[in-house]
Amino acid sequence: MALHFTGAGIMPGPGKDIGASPHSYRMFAAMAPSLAIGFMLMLVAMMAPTLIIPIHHVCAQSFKHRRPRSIALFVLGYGALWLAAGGLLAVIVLTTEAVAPGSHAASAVAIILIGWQCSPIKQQCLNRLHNHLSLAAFGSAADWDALRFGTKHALLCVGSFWALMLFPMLLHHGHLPAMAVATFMVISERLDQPAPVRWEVRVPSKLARILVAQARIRL
Amino acid sequence: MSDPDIAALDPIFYLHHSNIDRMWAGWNANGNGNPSDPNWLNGPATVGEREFAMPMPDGSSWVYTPADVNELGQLDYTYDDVSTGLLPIQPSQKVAQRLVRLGATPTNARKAAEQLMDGEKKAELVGANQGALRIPSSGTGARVRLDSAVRAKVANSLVEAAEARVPDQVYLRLENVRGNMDGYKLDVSVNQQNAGAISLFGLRKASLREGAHGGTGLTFVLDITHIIDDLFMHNRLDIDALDVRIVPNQAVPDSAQITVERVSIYRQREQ
Repeated sequence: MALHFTGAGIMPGPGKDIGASPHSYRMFAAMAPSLAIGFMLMLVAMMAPTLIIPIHHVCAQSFKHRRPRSIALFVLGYGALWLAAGGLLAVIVLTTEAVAPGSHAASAVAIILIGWQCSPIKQQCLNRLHNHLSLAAFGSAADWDALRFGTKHALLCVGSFWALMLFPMLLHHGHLPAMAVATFMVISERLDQPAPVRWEVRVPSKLARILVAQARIRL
Repeated sequence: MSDPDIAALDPIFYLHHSNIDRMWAGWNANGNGNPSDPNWLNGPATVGEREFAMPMPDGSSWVYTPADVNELGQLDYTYDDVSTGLLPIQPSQKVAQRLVRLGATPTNARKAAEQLMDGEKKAELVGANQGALRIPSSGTGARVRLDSAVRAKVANSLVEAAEARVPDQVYLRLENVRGNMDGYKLDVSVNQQNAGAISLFGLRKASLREGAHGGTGLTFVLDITHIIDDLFMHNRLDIDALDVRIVPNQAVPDSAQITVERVSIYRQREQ
């Protein structure tokens, strides 16, 4: 399910010494639709659990007969913005492979990803994900608000989780375990309360704490 | 008392919380039980939050859960008087009284009220205003437009009350109230009838974008079922909107910037 551009045949695999070329980018463009579908599947797998609360918010704020339409507009706004972000992430992967083929690429980008994980901007995005917009109830204003909420939520999600989405895409092997780890971190970070905006090494452990506490109650 | 960061420096804080504790003991003394849900008994750790901890005189910390403080007998103190000054009234009695007001016979009303089941009740939006409100010293008004189909559901449930079917509860929500100052009280009315008052304790911190509420502010819910019942009984519920008025109890400086993001009405089905 994870995107892997080397494996997709666009870029040379490990051990090969052929870098990216204009031909590679043309192939990338030709394969864009199938890559987009792959990215959306990855997005659903990793982000769906985090959408339970905002979709519940959309339902609660909308008339019952408007709920399917409002949810569809929220998902449309959310998916469209993430799809655009996915295109940028794909270009980052492709360019990184071109500049430093093989494992060097992942190592170089991993340093940036770790830096982003500790950054105040990431924490700011995470904090603002807790602030759900009030939605208009009637007419086109209700439609517009649902779409706007989806787009804004996606923008903050991209700011919070682009690095965790990019991480599995960079790997040549072990995409699914990497996706599982990244998903665990995404859910933990979404469940955490807002925190001070500053540089900080954060260990996203909330989901693990909940699972341990619930196991203690039930066992 | 109005700012959570310094409220505990005010002696009235201790009187206030001790009285809540005494009222809880009175509630138990009237035969009401405490929750038995394991998640409630085990406290915030069950949702991954930090545990409750109390500093002790010897410098140590006492880490405890709600299960450890469920009744006075578990702790080394009691109250001289746990009477609440009110006659104990069961929720089912209030429901039965309402059904009688709406036309049910006392016998049928009592039976229907006793058959009510506890559990999660689903809420549905009935109407909302358009656009955020600013609250000046003189107060402000909001026209809460109602969806005709959902309003009809509420009205039908009130018609059926005469047959001892428990009708909808109706609530007013002031959503995402934000501001820079604490300590104000807002009086709220619906169609010139008193709907209650809200106290803006902790408003400033709840409005901080990087604070524990993420800038969401505070949301208040007032039960306006009695107002809707009254409109229905006077044949005045066939309306497109309700007029909500919000008035501060004292002058509000411009710098307080008190706003309400949305005013809405919800119905909650009892059956």
